[in-house]
Amino acid sequence: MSPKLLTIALIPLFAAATFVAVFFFFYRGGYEPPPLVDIPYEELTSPGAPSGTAADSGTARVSNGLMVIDALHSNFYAERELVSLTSWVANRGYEVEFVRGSSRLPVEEKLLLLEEKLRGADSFLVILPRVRYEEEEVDLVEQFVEKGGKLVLISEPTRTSLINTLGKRFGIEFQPDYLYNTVEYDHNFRHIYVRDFQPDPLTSALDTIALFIAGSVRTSGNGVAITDVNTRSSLLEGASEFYPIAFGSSRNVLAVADFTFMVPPYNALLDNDRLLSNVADYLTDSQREYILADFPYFYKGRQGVDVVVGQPSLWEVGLDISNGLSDFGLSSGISDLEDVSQDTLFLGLYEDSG
Amino acid sequence: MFLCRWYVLAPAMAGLGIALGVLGFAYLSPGKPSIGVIEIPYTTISDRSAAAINLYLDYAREDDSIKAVVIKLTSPGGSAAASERLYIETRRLRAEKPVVIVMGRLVASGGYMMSMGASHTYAQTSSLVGNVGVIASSGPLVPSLPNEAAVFSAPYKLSGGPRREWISSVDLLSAAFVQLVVSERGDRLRITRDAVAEARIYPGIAAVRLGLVDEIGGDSDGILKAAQLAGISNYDLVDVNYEVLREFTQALNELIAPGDGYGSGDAGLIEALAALSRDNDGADGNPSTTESADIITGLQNLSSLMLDRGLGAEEDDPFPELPLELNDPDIYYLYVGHVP
Repeated sequence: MSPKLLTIALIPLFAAATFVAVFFFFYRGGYEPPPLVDIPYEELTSPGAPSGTAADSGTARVSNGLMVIDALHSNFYAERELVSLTSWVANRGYEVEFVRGSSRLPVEEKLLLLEEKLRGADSFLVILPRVRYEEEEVDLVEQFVEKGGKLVLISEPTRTSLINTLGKRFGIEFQPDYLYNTVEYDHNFRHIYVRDFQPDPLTSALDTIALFIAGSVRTSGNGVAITDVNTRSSLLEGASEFYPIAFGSSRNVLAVADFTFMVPPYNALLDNDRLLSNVADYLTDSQREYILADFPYFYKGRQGVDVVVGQPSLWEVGLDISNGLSDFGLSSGISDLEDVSQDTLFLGLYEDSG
Repeated sequence: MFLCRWYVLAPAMAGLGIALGVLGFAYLSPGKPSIGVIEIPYTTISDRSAAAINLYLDYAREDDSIKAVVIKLTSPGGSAAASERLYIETRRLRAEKPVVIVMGRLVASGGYMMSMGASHTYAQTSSLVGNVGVIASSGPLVPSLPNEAAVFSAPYKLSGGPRREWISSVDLLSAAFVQLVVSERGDRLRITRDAVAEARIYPGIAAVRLGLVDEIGGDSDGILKAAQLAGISNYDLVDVNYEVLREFTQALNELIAPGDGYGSGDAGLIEALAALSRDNDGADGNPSTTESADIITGLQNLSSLMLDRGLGAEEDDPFPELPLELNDPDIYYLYVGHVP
């Protein structure tokens, strides 16, 4: 090879050497992209509870009675949310009435309204009151419970409520928490299952219920529904047992820290409808005792009432009373002689009593 | 004759060879390497912000001189679909170039999802990281009755499905997000799937210990790691945000062609932006109170025009004759930051 050609060959030689040198000055290796991560989306599911069937307890008795629902304390519910429960209660022969009025009424007026309704009531349902129960009102409800009336308190964590102003008197305190379970749930960790129940007619034939926005209740009485080990409270990190449903200091007071289980369509899942039916049994199984102050409601359930008039001048008054009793659905007649087989109301003057 | 002597010619040829070697390297391939740096200051991820971030990611992917990318990210997340889009695009970039994410004070939820597309992640000890989960609005327990003034063809035409099914969808998306984290982190993850699903937020120091983030480090660590993963040294840094803005401005200058009646240079640009803002406001041509407000509005209008091709700017009530209120439900991978 001629020296000239050799000299010219230096160009590519140095070019290549320079290229390689510069390359290694800047590049010490190459990038190896990681293998593509395959995310198995198709295996993912959202666990949900199966639908239950509409269930009546089968033990329901048909009897006369009155369930009063509080609508006097700016209660946080819509009436259509109560349709399932009120239907079950009505099926058992009870009338359902609301005690209505502005929550801004003076306490004296609220007391009058409440007293008038509770006088004839067998059970009283209080759901999510947003206005506090005053002491006088609590006294009234306490007297109602002492006379055998059933009181059911319902709250839930997502709606503001001052229900503890009433509940505390009965040993019940709704906790400002919500219950959740990240291991087993119905579509959302706050939709918990409850499978552990204390033996009681209220929990008869229950296997599993689903509560959708449940809180917990602290009670001086007995827990009715008890959560499992995986259910936690938003207020506590550790595991514990919680009561979303509990009795108060007496079995006449029931606290339920979930409202959703009775609201369609959630009442149709698992044994929720059965629980609702049991709650309706509970509400319509009142052993309410009536005293003179409960006139004329202590005649409730009776066939008829005789108004016996002591002297002719009282006949007109007797007629008014008889009409009034008819307005309460009681058949009555005026007489001047007592019929010992019949409930009787004597009408006379104090000075004649001697 | 002297020039033809070998002792003159040989060094000259060698010098020419060296020059050709350098030129070939510089101008043909592969050139001097650089690391693209993308800065995402505190940003909630929406369709619009995701589109802008996507521009940066596209630029970094398409520029051959950029051999690795560092993303400085601070975000509480945002819209689920937009967050997922950023994850997908980051992952796509990772398939070509190493991507290192350096987390700022908060990288949560959808922002954290985006970081799952990176090759390597850094956090500061005090960064807040995690919150893997989903938020969506839901309707009332008992649905309201439909308006008789509207006719609709199926029971779920208005709502798309029952409430419980909607809640189930949220749960399914949460499971998918958790699965994404579990799959992407693989063996590096040192907490259970259930623990990830609890949507906790961790300080960086704990996030590293739990395997949610690779290392504690800052911007310079990110750049060094990016260089190491790309196998480069003596690199340049490219400010991708600036480069995209430069291209944007260049395109803008081309839009405002000479003869539009605006001056030249920055003054002309400001004048044109102000005019554009007035046009879009539907005002009567009076100048706005401050020039800077005009510029901001003008830039917003321009970004709408240029990024979205003029789409997306909906009227308040596009169908006034329809007796139904239009909602725009969304699902969010978002940390709302309620203090525990």
